[in-house]
Amino acid sequence: MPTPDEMAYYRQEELLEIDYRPPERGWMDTPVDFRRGSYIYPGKAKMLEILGLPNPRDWAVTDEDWKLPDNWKQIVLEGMAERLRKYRSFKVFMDSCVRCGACADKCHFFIGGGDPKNMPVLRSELLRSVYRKDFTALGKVLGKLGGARELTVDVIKEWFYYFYQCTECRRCSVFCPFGIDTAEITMMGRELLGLLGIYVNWVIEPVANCYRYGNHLGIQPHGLLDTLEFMADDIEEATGIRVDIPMNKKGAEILFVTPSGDFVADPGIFTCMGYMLLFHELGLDYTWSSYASEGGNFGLFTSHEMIKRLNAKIYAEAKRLGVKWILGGECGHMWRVLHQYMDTVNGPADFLEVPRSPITGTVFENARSTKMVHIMEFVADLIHHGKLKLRPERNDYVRVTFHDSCNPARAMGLLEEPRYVLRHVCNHFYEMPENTIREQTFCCGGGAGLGTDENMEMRLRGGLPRGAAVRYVQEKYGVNRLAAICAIDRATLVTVCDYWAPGVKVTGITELVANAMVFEGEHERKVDLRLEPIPGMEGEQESEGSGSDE
Amino acid sequence: MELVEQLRGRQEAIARRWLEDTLATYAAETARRLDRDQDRFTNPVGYALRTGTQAVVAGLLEGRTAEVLSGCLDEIIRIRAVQEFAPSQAVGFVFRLREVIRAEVQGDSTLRPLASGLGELEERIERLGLLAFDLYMKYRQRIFELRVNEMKRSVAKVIERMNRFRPGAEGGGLEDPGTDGPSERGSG
Amino acid sequence: MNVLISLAAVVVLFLVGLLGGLPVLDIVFGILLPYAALAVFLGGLVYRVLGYARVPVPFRITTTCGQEKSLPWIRQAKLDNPSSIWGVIGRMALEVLCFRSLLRNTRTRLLEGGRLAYATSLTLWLAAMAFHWSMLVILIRHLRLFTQPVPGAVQWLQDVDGFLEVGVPVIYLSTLVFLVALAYLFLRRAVNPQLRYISLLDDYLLLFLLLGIGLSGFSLRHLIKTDIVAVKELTLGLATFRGVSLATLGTISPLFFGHLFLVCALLAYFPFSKLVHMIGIFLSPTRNLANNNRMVRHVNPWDYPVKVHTYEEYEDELREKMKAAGIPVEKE
Repeated sequence: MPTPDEMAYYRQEELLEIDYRPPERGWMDTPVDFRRGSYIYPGKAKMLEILGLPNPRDWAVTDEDWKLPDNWKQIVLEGMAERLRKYRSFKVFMDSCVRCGACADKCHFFIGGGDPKNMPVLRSELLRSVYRKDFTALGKVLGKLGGARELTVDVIKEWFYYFYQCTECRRCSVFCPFGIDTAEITMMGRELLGLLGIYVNWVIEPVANCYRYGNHLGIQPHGLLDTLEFMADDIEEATGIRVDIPMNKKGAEILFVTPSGDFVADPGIFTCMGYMLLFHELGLDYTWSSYASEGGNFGLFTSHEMIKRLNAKIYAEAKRLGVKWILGGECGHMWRVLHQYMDTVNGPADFLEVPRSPITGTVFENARSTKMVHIMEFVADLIHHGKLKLRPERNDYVRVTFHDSCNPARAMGLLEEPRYVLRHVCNHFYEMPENTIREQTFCCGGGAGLGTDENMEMRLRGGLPRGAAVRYVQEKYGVNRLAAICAIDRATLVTVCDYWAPGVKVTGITELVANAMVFEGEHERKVDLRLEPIPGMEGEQESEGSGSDE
Repeated sequence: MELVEQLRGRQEAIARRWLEDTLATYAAETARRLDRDQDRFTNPVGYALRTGTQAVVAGLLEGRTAEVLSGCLDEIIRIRAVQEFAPSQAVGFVFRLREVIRAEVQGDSTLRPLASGLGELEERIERLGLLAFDLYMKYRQRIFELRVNEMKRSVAKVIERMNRFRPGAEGGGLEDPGTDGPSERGSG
Repeated sequence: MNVLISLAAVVVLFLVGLLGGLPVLDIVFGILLPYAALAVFLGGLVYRVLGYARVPVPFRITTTCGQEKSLPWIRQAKLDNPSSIWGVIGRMALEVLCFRSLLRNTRTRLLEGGRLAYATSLTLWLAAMAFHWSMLVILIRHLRLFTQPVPGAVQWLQDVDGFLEVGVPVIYLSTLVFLVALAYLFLRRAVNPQLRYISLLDDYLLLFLLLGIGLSGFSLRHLIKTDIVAVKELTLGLATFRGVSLATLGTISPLFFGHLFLVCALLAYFPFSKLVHMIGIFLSPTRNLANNNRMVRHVNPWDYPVKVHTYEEYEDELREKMKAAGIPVEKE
């Protein structure tokens, strides 16, 4: 008998010919396999009832029977036909794809996870295959050979699994030679699922909250005021300044709207405190609204109709309060809605005036119809005119990089303003690699209603490309802060960084602005807005701040 | 350990073979891309696998300490801990290195007489497997911590606020703002 | 599987086409089928265009790939993020003529000293450009068969294309580029598992059809030459609706009919295939709209009122709490 030391001990035929590759199967023949950590829990019946949505019931993703209505197939096909009549984007995208593969390796979920169905082209093929079967002549004749397939319950389940593994970040759309936008496909897919009462709770509960109470978290007016009061306490502790909290104030010049995530969650609250300090210092005549206390819009992740239903509050409140124009805080998908949808769904806002900065006199011509300005545009203008007294050296302990949030980058083009602001409030700003920022930016992995905890593994996979780029600048430049102008980023990137680049904290830009600003009547600034000591500033001397553009 | 000496001269070939074996644990459509795209930012998984396997093979043949080897494995395991693998699959690729080295020895007549040195090398690989398991558990643990931390971050301020004493506060100030409204987080 | 079926289909089509060399059938393959195919092609395209044009664009959903127009001192990326019609035209021209989006594949490379270098990955872009542009040149060259006298521009293009002056008759550069690009596009699809996974019959079928047309055309010119004068008489007759004599038809080689039939098949299949991307590229709302959303209101033609939760309903539910917190209310 040979011993383990000798080669003959091992069966040689096993050693050579090693092939673990799975047998090749077409994707249509690969049924969906619901993995824990990759799906989100379904919407509760109660939420659907509040919103008057169809087929409210309690069910679980792992159930065999999803309790669909009897005529589910008819509902979906009619829904599809209707959307093909209403959205040119949908119809053109269904026909135009040549499967060139340019998008295949652009999705962060595919890059981090490797599931081939997360290639954007396949995500659209999930819908396109059904479209071919029921809406094209060739598909009807050729069937599977023509890339067509029958709509079955399994297809519905597959749609659910993969349309809730898309963050609607639009990165693939940048690379597509025909501009096919997977976000649009995903939105259609989710709308169709919605017709059957299939939602995820992490989206539909905030939607129900927002519908009823004005914000995703369901914070009621007294609670909101209270929350802001407590932030004012912290502000006072950090700066010695007591800020006012104008709430539902009629006749104010500006209505300020920001995502509600910044009211409660760390580190978003520090950004919120930054807004309050900034407005106080400027003496801005502004107001918060408890009714329109949500800038974000999870309707975007539900249906076009829901976008309109939730968004209506903003113009309605601006009208009721009689403000002149609206200022919006740092948020990602909120700005997709405000920039690309609000004026269309709830405009025209002819009762408002073209936004004009009361401090610098700048008229924001680029917002002359919608009448809503981004806080970064507003602040960049202030800095450009030298209206802020800044001491960027207070932020010297911060070595910051900037994460372009998907929607401001690819649905708006807000790229330079935040960088301009960052460079003026921080001395140490480093860019991540070129193919991971600006229009090529990688998603945090938790957008479009995926930022919950039951799908944590999926989010971390999706966050890997972003995390890898952050770790690169961390190792190379000692970066310890990641700035992002999105509330979802501020919630999810904390986790992404903790896993892929531990030691990097997440911040909003306005937080850094407020830390660098010199306020009238402030006491010695020993701690930042997080109430953490500022290294090197424990005994600082007041000196002239640099407020002007270099 | 003449065998190890000899193998050190071929460590690149061994690492390459092991990498191919490891790539085979992914779907074929994915594996090719992981292998081909050399960009560390658009292909972080492929980058980690490539650099990780090279470092581990080098470290193993040079007889590095567990600490060093663990560092070489770290990124690969961190990635595989969030991908859709069963635990056995996630760390199992380490043991494939055994077969790779055996095949290398078997395929070369100058190495075959030195096969008796395989035993010790394989012991090292087994220890490597245990290291991988430690790392895997560490990262799985971290994922659960991250879940808990997210939860904490979303309520910590609320609790801090409720506990803070504020003279002169009145009205809704003492009431939990979330009592009537549903909470943000749903559950199944 | 899809590859074999497509290949077989194209071979069968070609063989069927060869029948055109027979008497009587040459009328079918030389005259009737080309007209029929052209009718299907044109009718199909018009149907498609009208089909798309009928569908409204409810929202302006531009994908922005550069800096927006905002403050006057911030430089806008006028082509990648256009805010005016001229910007859009520029952007579309870059997309349609240069395949701009395929050029965005930035790759990093680590240089010595840990510095990153960026380069654009060119292969797919190059193959796509080579294929589309050479096809356009070939199409224009073919105009000489449909015009008398041949326009100067066509003649000029032909001369430029044949500048290599290799072979008798001269081998055109565009022919070579066309065939090589197609071969690359096919191999890419067949070899790369990722692409194989997403490929459909449609994809292979079109590649083989085009390859078949290219190869048979090449053969007609260089290998098994046909009576080009007779061919021109036929094509000119088709183009001018004057018809052609049976005697002339009889002198044309079967290979020509094989070539022609494949072209007919492609024309007829065009409106039903992914080739409608030729229309789609002009109509994609993420590319052909200006990002001037906040400047000019976009109107949704099918907009309808929705159920909202009004401020009155909101205050009615929460009035007491608001009053207690000192928040102003509408109704005391």
